Amino acid sequence: MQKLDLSGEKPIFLQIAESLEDAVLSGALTEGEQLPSITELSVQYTINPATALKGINLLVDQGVAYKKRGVGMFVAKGARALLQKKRQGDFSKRFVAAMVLEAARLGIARQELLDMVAQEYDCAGKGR
Amino acid sequence: MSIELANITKSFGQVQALKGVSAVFHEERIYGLLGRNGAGKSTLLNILTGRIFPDSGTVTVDNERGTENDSAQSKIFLMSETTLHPDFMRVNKAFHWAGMFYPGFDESYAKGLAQEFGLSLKAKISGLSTGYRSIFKLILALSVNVPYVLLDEPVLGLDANHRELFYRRLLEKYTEKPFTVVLSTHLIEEVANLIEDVIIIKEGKVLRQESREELLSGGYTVSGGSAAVETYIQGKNVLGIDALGGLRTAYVLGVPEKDSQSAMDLEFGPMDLQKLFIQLTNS
Amino acid sequence: MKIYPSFRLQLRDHIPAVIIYYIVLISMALLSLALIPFMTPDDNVHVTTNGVTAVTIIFAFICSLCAFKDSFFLSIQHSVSRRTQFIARLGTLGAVCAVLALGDELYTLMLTGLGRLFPTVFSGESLYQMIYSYDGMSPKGSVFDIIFSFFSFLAVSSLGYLLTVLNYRLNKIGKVLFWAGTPIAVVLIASYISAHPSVAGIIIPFLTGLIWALFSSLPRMIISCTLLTVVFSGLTWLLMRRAGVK
Repeated sequence: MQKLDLSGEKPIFLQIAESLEDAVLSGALTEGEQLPSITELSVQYTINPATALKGINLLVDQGVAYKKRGVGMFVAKGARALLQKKRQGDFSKRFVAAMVLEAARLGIARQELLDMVAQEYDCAGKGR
Repeated sequence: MSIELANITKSFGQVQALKGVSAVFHEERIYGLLGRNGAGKSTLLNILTGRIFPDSGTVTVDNERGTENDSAQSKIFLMSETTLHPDFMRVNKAFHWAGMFYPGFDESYAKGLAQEFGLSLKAKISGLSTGYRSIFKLILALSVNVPYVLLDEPVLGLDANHRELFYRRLLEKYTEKPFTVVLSTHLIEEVANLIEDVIIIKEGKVLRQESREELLSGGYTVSGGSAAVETYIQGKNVLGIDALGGLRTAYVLGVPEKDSQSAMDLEFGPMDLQKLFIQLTNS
Repeated sequence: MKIYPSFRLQLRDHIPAVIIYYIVLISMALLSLALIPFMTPDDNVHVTTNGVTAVTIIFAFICSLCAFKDSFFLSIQHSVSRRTQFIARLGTLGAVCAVLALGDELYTLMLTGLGRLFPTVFSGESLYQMIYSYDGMSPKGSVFDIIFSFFSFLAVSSLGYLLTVLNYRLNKIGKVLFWAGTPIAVVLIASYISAHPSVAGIIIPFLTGLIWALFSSLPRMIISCTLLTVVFSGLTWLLMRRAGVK
C-alpha cells in the first residue's frame, strides 16, 4: 500500500479511498475480493480507525464497495467500470487544470503544450 | 459513559497549576491531551486518578464520584513518568500483582508484548533504562483491559521501531474492542492521525476541546510573497505568521476567500495540528 | 473487592523480615545446643532467653517503620483507594501481630523444653511471666503469654506505622523539627525535671501511677493497648486520607 501524504494537503480518509480506488483500477483488487479491514488499514497507516472507516464508507457510498455483515467489505461488481467513468469525469479537474496552470507559470504556449501532450501520448502508446 | 472533570483547580505553593479545568472524556474515543511543558497535563491526569487531591472541583467517572472510590478508579489505568513500582520488583512480579488488582489483566498478552519489545521478564524495574521503563509501563497499560487508559508521554525514550510497534499494538487493541485512550504528549505530529479528539491545555486552562476535524477545519494557511500575504490578511483573524526570506505563510482562522482579488498568486492549504498547536500556545 | 489483594501486598512487606527474625533466634539456640558437647561443668555457660518478647516488640516497631511507602505507591498505581488500603493495613496488623505472638510462644516453649534437658544451659521465661510474676508453665500460661504479646505488638506496631506515615506527610522542615526536635524536647524536659526536685516530686509519682493504672494487670493492659492501637490507627487514617503521591 502506498505511503500517506501527511502534509495535510489532502485529507487522509480521501487518500485511503483513492489508494483503494487505484488498486481496483489497476486490477490489484479484483471484483468480489475483500478489502483490507479497518484494523489492517489503521494499523498499517497508524491512523484513527474512524478515519479509515470514513475512507471505506466513501467507496461504499459510490457503489465501489459493499459490506457483507459479519464478514467485511468487498469490491462491488462493476466497480472498475464505475471508477473509470468517474475518473474520466474528474480527469480534467485533477490533471488537466494543474497541468495548464503549471505550463502558464513556465511560460509554455498553448500549441507547445498540445504538441508535448501528443508526443507523450505516442511514446507511451509504443511502450504499452 | 464518560469521565467528567468540573472546575478543577490545583496550586503547588505559589504556582497555580490548574485554574478551573473542565473536560470530558467519552467512552471509546482516542483523545490527544496536548500542552506545552508545565501546562498542567500531568497534574490533570494525576488528579483524575486520585494520586493527588485538587484544591477544588470534582471528578466523576460514569456518573459516580471519582475520588477515593475503588469501583470508579478500577476503570482507569494511568501510565505516567513517575514509577510507582518498588525498586527491587521484577517485571514478572509486577505483572503478577497487576493481575491480582485488575481481574481483566491479560498476563499472557503482557508476556507476549514483553518478548516483542525485548523486555526481560526477570529484569528489575529500577535497573531499566528510560526507554525500557516506558515499555514496561505501556505493556501494563495495553494488558490491563479497563475502559479508560491514560498515557502520559508513553513513548518517552523509545526508539523509532518501538514507537511504531506501540502504536500498532494500541490500534490493534482499540479496533478489536474500543476503549477510551488519552494520549498526553509533546509529539503532536506522531499522534495527529491517531487521535479523534483534541484537548489543548495552556497555562492551567483548557484552551480548546473539540474533535480534530473541527479544530483543523476552523482554519487554513495562506502562503506567498510577503506583500501579497500582508494584503490578504487585512482584517482577518490571524493566529501567526512564518517568514522565510521574502515569503510568508499566515495561519488564519475562518474560511479561505480564494476568489477574492487579494487571493491571486497566493497558495491556500489546510492547517496541520502541530502548527496550529504552536500558534495557539505561543504566548 | 480490592481489600484482599491490598492485604496480600502489605503482608508481603513483612513476611521476609519475620522469617529471618525467627531463623536468627532459632539459629542462636541451635548454636548453643551444638556447643554443649564442648562444655565442661566448670564453664559457667548459661543461655538465658527470658522475655524474648521484649526484643520482638522492638522488632515489630521497626518493621512498621518501613512499611508504608512502597505499598502505598504500588496500591495507588493499581487504583486502590486510601480507605481500602487502610482497612487492609488493619488486617495486616492483626495478622502479623498474631504470627509474632505465636512465634514467641513457640520459641519460649522450645527453650523451656531445652531447659528441661540441659537445665544448666537453657532457661526461658516469657516476658509476661517476668512482668506479671506468673508462675509456671501451663497451657493457661501460654494463652496469657500469647495475649500479652499480641496486644503489645498491636500497640507498638500501630505506633511505628503512624510515625512512618507522619514522616511521609511532613515536608523537609517538618521532618527536621519532628525527628530532631522530639528527642531534644525530651532531654530538655527530663533535665528540667531532675534539676527541680519539687517538680519531680509531682511528675514522677504521677507517671508511675499512670503506668500502674494502665498496665498493672493483664486485663488492664489489654484495654490500654487496644486504646493505644485505636488512637494511633485513627491518627494514621487522618494523615493517610489526604496523602498525595510525591
